[in-house]
Amino acid sequence: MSDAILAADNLAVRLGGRTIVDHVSFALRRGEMTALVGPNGAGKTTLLRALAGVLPARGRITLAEARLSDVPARERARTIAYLPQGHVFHWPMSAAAVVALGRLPHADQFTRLSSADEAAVAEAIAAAGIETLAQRPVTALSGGERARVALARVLATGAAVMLADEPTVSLDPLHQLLVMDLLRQAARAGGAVLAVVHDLALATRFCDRVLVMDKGRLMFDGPPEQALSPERIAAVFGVDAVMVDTGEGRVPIARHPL
Amino acid sequence: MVAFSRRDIGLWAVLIALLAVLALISLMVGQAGLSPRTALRALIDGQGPAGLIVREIRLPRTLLALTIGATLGLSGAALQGLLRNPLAEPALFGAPQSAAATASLVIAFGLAPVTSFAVPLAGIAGALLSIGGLVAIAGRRAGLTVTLLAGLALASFAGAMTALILNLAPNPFIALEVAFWLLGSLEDRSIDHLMIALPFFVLSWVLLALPLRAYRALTLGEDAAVSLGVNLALTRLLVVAGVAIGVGAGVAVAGSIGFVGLVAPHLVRRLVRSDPAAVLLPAALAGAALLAAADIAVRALPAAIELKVGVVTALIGVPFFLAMIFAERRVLEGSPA
Repeated sequence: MSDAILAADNLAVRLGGRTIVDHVSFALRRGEMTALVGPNGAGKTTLLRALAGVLPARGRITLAEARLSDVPARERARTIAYLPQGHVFHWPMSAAAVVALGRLPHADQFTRLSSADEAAVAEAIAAAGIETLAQRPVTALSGGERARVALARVLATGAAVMLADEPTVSLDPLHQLLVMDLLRQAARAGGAVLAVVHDLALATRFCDRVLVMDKGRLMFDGPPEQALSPERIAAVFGVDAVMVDTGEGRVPIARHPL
Repeated sequence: MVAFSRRDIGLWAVLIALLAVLALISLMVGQAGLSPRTALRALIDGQGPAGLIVREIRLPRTLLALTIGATLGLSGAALQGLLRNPLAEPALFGAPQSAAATASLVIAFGLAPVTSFAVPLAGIAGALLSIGGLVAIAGRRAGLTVTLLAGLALASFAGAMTALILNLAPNPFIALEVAFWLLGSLEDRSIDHLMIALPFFVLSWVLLALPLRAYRALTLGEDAAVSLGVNLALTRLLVVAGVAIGVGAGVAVAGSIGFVGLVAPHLVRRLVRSDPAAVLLPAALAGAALLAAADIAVRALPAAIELKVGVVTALIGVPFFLAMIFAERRVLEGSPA
């Protein structure tokens, strides 16, 4: 467990008088791609926001030995990159300018992008394959293009921890694969990646580990084949699932409601 | 990160040159028209009747137009950056109206002389209440519908309060004086007015310029901005205080001048590639140019009674606002409350 970089210990989050996340403990490790799955309303987004330092939480979150709440905001921002749901861009800035926002935690108030910043932005743009989109306004891009720009912004930070909330939602199959592959590459390069994924087959194929959440609690933490067995899928999601052999391993497919 | 390109600096130069031209015209125009050369010489040596007119009457007026316009343009750009909404502007949220209500309370009931610090302070308190209320009501998601409705409610309430104050004014002459002052004008303002308001303007410029990085990060939404290290509570406080101090002081010396904060950022936004941080300075310069031009227009137009500059900006601003709503209609209709 020496590779643990972000750890939650008995984490609880209350929002509007309701406990959304309760008794959650786990650790994210370098080099590991982890999926967070669970039904709608299970508390996945709330958990991610707490881990990103956006929401206050009870219990303890440890970032590389230090308490997360004691880590200065900019240092936290350099270490934990957070991709919220929906790939929102409010202003029609260019895709390149949006990706450059990922370097915000590294820059001073007025400084230009340093050559290291420029290199990180160019690298993220190349990794996400959005070179041809770089000068276009983000608000004019398609859903798949926006998803890749949003992801490139998170990659550009060069953070040790990446938290991605539904990075593949509303994407076509090709873009789902591209985005999952990019996240896995980030993990292979030594990052700790936690992604909320609704597609259980994608989670099984791309992730080293799966966290299963239900009603604010962490129900299981382990390898995909154990986490996403038909029995657990039935218990947590209320659907009947079968394992299907894709020729590249077995993945669960939901068939009908129970 | 918030670096400015050569194009940005070129834009600043063009806008500053435009301001210099407008300032010179503003010194020339009035009941006694002066040539550019006469106006400049009068400004420099201050000799004779021309010197008196230029230095005592037109210079304060011009400087007030420039500083108030800049404050309004900057306030609009800052609010738009904070709320991520191109329709945000101080007047739509009742800031000048609230400032007018509290300032007129002070004037109407003779609590303090018109040229004391009490009037701008009262105006600032009013603006602070309305903008603070708006940011509190609009909340985390800052949905367009909620924000605009909350602004409408606050503006209406401030209007009602002003009406109540006029209603209860101790004598009709004071009520008339306040009513005229409310229309927004730069007529007959002295250097004293400028000196009262200027410290507040400068403070508001500093406060609004501080969260440069936050405006840019907020294009990704509040959660992403916080995850990038932005202190959202501090950013909100800086913008609310900056807008309230600037607008409150502006209203206190010149009455209510609307829509400059909406129009100015819009005029320059495309030129800075919609960057919510890079738009600040051009929006301030454009605001100064707009108000200076409007104030030249009210003096140049042949009319028996001089039009109030606040009336002119509203006359131009409202159709502009409607056109923007029309252009944004798809977003507005699809916006989740």
